[in-house]
Amino acid sequence: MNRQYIRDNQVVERYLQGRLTADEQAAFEEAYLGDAELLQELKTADLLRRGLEAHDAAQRREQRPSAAARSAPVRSAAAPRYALAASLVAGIALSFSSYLFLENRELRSENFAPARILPLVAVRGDSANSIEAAATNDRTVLLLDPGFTPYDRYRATVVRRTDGAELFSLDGLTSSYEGQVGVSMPSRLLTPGDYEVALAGRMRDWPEQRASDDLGTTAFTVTAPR
Amino acid sequence: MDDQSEQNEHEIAADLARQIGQGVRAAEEVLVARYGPGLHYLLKQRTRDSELALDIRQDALRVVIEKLRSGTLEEPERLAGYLRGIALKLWGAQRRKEVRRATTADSDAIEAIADDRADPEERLSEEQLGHAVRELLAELSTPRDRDILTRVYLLEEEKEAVCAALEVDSLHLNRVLFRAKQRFRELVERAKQHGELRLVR
Repeated sequence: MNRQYIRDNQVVERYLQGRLTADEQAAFEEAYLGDAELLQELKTADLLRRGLEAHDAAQRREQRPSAAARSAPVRSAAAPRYALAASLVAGIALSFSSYLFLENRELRSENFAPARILPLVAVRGDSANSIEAAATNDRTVLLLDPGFTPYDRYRATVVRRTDGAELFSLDGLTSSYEGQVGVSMPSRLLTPGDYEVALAGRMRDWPEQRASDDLGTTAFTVTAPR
Repeated sequence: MDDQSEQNEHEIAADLARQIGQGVRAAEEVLVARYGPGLHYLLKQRTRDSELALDIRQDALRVVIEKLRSGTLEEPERLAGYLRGIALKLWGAQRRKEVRRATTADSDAIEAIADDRADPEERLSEEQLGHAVRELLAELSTPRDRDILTRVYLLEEEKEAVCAALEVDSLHLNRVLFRAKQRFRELVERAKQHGELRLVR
C-alpha cells in the first residue's frame, strides 16, 4: 500500500473509523509499522479526531441547559404514552423469552453433539494455524476475528485450497463469542489438507443488491490425528 | 509509503533479519526502534489499553527476535507483516484469557523497551486538544474547509458523501485533510514547547 493510495482513499481516516476491509487494514498496518512518517500522520489524525470530539462535546455542554429546559414539558406530556409502549414491549419480550427457553431445552436433548473450539488467527509468512483432524463424529467450531468494524451478520465459507472445493458455508452468523465469530461445522468435513475460511460481513439495513464486505480469508492446515 | 520506500522497507527488513541471524545485537535494537512505536499504536487500537499494549508488544518483539536469531523466518522481507501477525496472535490469546508465557528476555534491546512508556500525546487532556482544535478551525480559510473536517472526523461521513454535499472534488478534500493534519501537528508541538498543553497523568 503506497502513499498515493493511502491519500487518495482516505485510508488514515477510514482506518480510524474502522471502515477498511480486512485486507486493506492488514496492508495499512504493515505499512505504518515500518514507516515513522506515516505513523506520525496517523497519530496526528487520531489526535485531531479526539480534539474535534472534545471541541464538539464542549459546545454541546454549553448549549445543554437551555435545550433541556425547552424539552422538559414535552417529555412530561408524552410520559403516559411511553409507559404504555414500554408495557407492550415488556409483554412481547416476556413471550419471546419463553419461546427461546423452550428452544434451548431442545438443544439440551440427545441431538446436542460435543464440539471442540479452535481459534484461528490470520498470520502472514508463517503457517500458524495447524489443527489436528478429529477422529470422532463431533463438531468443530472455528473462531474468527472479524476485525474492527462490527457487522450485523457474517457469512463464513470454508474452501479446500488444493482444488478450490467449497466444503461448508454458513450465513447469519454474529460475533457473539468474545467478539469473535464462531463457525460450527461437522468435524468429519475437515480431513487432512490445506483449507481457508473466507469471512464476509453486512449490515441489516443494506439493500439486497449491495454486496457484503469481504473481511478476508484465514488459511489453516488440518493434520492427520496422532 | 511510496513504491520506493516500500522497496526500501523490504530491503531494510531483510537486512535486519540477516544481521540478527548473525548475532548482531545492535540490529535487534534497530528493529525495536523501527517497529516498536507502530506496534504499540496498533495494539492500542485493539486493546484500548496502553499498558497492556506495551506488554503484548514486548512479548511479540521477543518472539520475533528469537525467531530471527534462529534464522528460521520465511520471507524475512515481510518482517512487518510477521510482527503484526504475532502481535495479533498474542492479543487473541490474551483475549481468550490464556496464560501468556512469562517474559524470558535476554536482550538489552528488549529490556530497554520495558521502560518505554506511553506517548506524550496520550496524556493530553480532551480540554487541551479541544483548545488546539479551536485554534486550527480559526485558521482555516473558509467555512467549507471547517465543514470538511467536521464531516470527515466527527460525523465520519464517506468521502463521496462529503464531496457531494459540499460540492468539492476529491483532490480538494485530500488537500484540506493533508494540510489540516500538518498544521494541527505544528499547533500541538508548539503548544507543548510553550507549555500551553500541559501533560496530565
